[in-house]
Amino acid sequence: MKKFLATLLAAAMVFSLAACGGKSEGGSGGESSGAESGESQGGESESTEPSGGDGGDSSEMVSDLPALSESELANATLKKQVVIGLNKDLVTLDPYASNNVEVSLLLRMTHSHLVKQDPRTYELQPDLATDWEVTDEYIDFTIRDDAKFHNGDPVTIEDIIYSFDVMKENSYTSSKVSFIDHIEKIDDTHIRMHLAKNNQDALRILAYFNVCIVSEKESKADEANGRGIGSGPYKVAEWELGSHTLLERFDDYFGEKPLTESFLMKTQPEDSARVISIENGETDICIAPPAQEVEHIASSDKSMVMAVTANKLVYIAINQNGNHKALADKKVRQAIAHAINRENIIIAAKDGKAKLANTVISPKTAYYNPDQEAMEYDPELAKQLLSETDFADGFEMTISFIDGTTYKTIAQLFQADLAAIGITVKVDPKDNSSMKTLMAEEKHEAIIYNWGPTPGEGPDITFRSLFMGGSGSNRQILNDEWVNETIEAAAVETDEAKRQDLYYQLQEWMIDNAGFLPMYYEILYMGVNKNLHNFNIEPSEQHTFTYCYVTE
Amino acid sequence: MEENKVLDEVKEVAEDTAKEVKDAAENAAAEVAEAAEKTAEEIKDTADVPASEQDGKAAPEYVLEIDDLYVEYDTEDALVKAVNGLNLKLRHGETVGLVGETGAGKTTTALSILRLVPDPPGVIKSGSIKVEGQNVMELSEAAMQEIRGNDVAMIFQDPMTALNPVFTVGEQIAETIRLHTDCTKDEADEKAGDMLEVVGIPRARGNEFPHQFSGGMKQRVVIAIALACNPKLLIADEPTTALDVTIQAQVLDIMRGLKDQFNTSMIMITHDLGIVAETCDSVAIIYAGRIVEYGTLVDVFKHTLHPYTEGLFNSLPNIHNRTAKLKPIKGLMCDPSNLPVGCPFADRCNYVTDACKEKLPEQRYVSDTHYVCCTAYDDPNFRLERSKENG
Amino acid sequence: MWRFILKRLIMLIPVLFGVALIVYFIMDLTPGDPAVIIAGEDATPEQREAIREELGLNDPFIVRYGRYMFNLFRGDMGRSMLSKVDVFPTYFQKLPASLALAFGSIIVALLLSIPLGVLSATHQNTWVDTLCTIIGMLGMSMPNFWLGMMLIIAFSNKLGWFPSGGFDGLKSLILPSITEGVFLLALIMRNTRSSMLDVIRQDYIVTAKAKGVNRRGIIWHHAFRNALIPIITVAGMNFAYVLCGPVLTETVFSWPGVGRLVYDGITKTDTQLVTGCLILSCMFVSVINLVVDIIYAFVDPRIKAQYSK
Repeated sequence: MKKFLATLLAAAMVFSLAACGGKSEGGSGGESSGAESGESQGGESESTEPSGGDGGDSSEMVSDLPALSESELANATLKKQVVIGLNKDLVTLDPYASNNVEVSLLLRMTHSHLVKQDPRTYELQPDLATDWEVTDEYIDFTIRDDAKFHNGDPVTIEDIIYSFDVMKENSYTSSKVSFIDHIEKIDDTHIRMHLAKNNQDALRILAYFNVCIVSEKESKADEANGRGIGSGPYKVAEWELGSHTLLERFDDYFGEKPLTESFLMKTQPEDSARVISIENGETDICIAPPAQEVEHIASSDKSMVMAVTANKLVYIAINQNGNHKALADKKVRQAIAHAINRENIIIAAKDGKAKLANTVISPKTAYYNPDQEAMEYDPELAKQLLSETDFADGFEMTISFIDGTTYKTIAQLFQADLAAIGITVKVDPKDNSSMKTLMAEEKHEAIIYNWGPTPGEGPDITFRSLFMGGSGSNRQILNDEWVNETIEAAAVETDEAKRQDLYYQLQEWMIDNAGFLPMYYEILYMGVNKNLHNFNIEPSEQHTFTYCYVTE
Repeated sequence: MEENKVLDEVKEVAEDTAKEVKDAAENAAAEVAEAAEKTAEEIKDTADVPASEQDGKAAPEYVLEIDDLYVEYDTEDALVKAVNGLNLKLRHGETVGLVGETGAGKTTTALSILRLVPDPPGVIKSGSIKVEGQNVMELSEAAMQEIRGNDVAMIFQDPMTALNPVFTVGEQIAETIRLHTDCTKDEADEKAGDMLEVVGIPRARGNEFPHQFSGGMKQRVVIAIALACNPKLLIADEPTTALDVTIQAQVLDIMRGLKDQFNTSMIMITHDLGIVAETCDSVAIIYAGRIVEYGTLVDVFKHTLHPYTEGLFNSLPNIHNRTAKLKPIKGLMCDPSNLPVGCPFADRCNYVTDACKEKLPEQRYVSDTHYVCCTAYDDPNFRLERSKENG
Repeated sequence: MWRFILKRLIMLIPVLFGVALIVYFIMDLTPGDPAVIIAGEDATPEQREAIREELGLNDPFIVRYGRYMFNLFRGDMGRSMLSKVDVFPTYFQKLPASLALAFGSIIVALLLSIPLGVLSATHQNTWVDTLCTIIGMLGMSMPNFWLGMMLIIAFSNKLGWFPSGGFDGLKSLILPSITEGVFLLALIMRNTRSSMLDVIRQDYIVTAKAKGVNRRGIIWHHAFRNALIPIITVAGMNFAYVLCGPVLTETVFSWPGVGRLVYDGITKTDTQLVTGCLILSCMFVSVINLVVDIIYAFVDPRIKAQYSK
């Protein structure tokens, strides 16, 4: 009897604990709702101001913390070290070795570029190049003579030429700098960049975070991490893989001296722990908190929330050129597009904290068409469309994605929505590397993925990467002659109105083709110390921390 | 004819060999005993004054008095009545043999004296046990710990498992000494070495571990531990059962020697009547948790009273008649969880009557020293077969 | 005894060979193309092929394995494919954190489990025993990342006594040690209990009681040392486990240990890194086993005698 009671009691306790366990959204194993799958691809050029394309969301959200005035600064004590909690580890110091967003956070502080952009206005500004002159065949740059690498060496023309040579070879950067033919040294402070093809967004490309200048000497001396030595306002004092990176102010920097002495970037892969860190005041900035935890950050007395409608577009791509006969049929794809209830997806996967996408590019991209409409949720229409095809009886298909809570939820809703019109969907979660291999081999049927262009960038890189035949990021495996020609034409078109028209046509074509189904634009959150100043949250996640500071 | 001749020859040779072995063993034992004696003399000079010579107080007559002891084991399956109204008295210097089959209650009785009966499930239901006049039932656990190893010591049946494998032999002896006397570690180690020599083990081997000793030597160590503090009462629970015959002889000699020197009383629990004959002054035959016959050695061996005792003697093989069949006692010991109302030996007894099954026979003194619990003796003329032979 | 230790140390070499072969073989079989990971999914097939050639990924297995083993004996475990850091020094950079966590959790576990286990055994079948059993069951069933999160919320967030993560001095070690230690505690406690129950039934315990040794002496001096062997075994095994990779705890506490290093390597198919780390971890486990065997000899003289034969 005693034994029976004891067993019963124990069982009851175990069940009750197991039931209330597993609360944390992030679970374990490094999920994060922020940059869930891989990298945001970089974009280029065009300086169109971010228009009111966010639809009024930004009015409630704080996305910009202004700088203090002169007098305020004089009276304030600044924290010597600002601590940033990263959600993903900085895997390498080599700027040419990845396109990962977190590397951009580092590179903006440690490396210099030919030109740079103002973080708020995206206005082009001199960096290593003090002046430039653009023609159709070449661009002339005047290079400053007082730039120094962190090892004390001066930045020379040879270093610049070497850097671009390496970029042309390297897989992560080669497509971006493909518009450059070669660089000619005119003299010690002048270079001529000969263009292989004309590109309107050339200067924007040169401001891209990993199109940066490295030291030829260091790069050759240490193949692994020599390129981590840059000429930016901060130098890498310590880097421990999987743990942290320490940046210290570089006193010989040629430009404006930042106010914070050092930045400590800590790798905190577990979402809830990272959020607690910012609430405790252990960190000053919390990257990518999960949407559900944002309220906690706001309610703490040490921290606050910043938010902005992100550049990141989550989409479903359907492989229209693969072995799957049904998916090659445009009407089938359109039926699928109408069958999906995207509002449900936003509620279920993002807790309502996302913006319904209306076109195939994000609002911050130039030539974004605010009036374009994506396919509406209309299951009746979907059924009807499907019945007009050869596949009216339904068929099977697989949707693949990198395993994580958000994408899994989307996949499951996709499965349910399509089941309603007679299509059986198999949900196929994959780990990071298997997914990349699948996409590289173009063996997928449908995928959930994301695309996040760079600040102020123009549409060329986006359209070229996503929709150009043969591009590595073209997930629909689309190769349409008209599309290819139009992209090329738009790239070189100088007339604004004509250019806009071409890009609007492309957007409409894409929606109609229903191979690229936009789901939603993410809302990007960030947790910050209440006393943080002079920082704005960048919708493409490529934030610039260089000139921010925290008062005590 | 031939066969008999060969047999006779073999018999002769066997007897001669047996005699030689016995002589050799005795010689060896004698030598050991001599050496032991010497050391023992030294120890004796520093030993405690025997209780019977304490000045002033009148020493208790008996070193041990067990009165009407009832011990049960209350297990989940059954209530096992191990000891049922046992009485026993022991004087100083006296050795009593407690003889009985497996399951008779011998070990339980012994454990009860030291209150070592595992509790649960064992329970001492009633009765008193007085050691040197003090009722151990009333003592606190702390007081019991003082008695154990000090006034009353016990040695167990299986020497192979009786010693702690992770401590040296010397440490285990010294532990007893340090527990009960006031001496430093070095003094205790010294005395431990002395005890080893007393039992015939070289002093230097005190630093070795039990697994490095043979069975006989281990048992000697156990004896050394038991006698280290010069107890008044030594309880030996089948000390030689696990040893072979030659070693048996040695160990018994040592025990006898020490017992004589220190005037230790001893309860020798055994089922071997030969050992009883060699070492004991009196005999108690135990059956189903009671003493069914008690007397001096001569009383019980020569003037056997109880049918069970007779059965025990009869079941010994006859060295003079090799071809005779063994005569075991028929049947098995009764189930202690299911004892009958009358005499527990009734269904195995050759002399059973109806009266036996009705009630438990009571203690009946046949002489000053000899009593029996048997209904048959209601008839004063009743004699066993064996007694008739012996007269 | 020294000969025994020497012999075991020499035996580590064939173990190294075997481990290296098995690990290398398994890693070879895992899906995912390292060239894709290194080059990125936007790379052209030519670029990927170039990388494959550069890393020698197109050579047959035996050639690659041979090359790896040759380098291994020169002390060169190669470089992480993604981070370009040297594998060997990176592992040892992470090792102190893992060692600290391993020691921390074993200490937490032993501090509580041994007294509870002994208590449980000496009060067998009473309410004390039942309570300890329940605690044990809780410890084993509780998901440890959940426990970690709860501890962080309670002690770091609400009370502010401890930091919420990272390896930054002794204070930061406490919560992760408790998280990892709780499971160990349950295991060791059960082991202690059964081991003690076994020992208490032995004859030499009765001998000790008959000597007049008091209860504490019986339990701790006589019984416990004999019960120690299975406890040491379990503690050693679990020490090795915590050393090599309690990934969940390391993730929750952002603990810069070996576990996360290997885990990150696996998710990114950084074969070179994972192979090197696994081999090193296996070697450490072998060394821990040897240390445990040596400890046995100090506890039980019979075992020591066996080693000297």
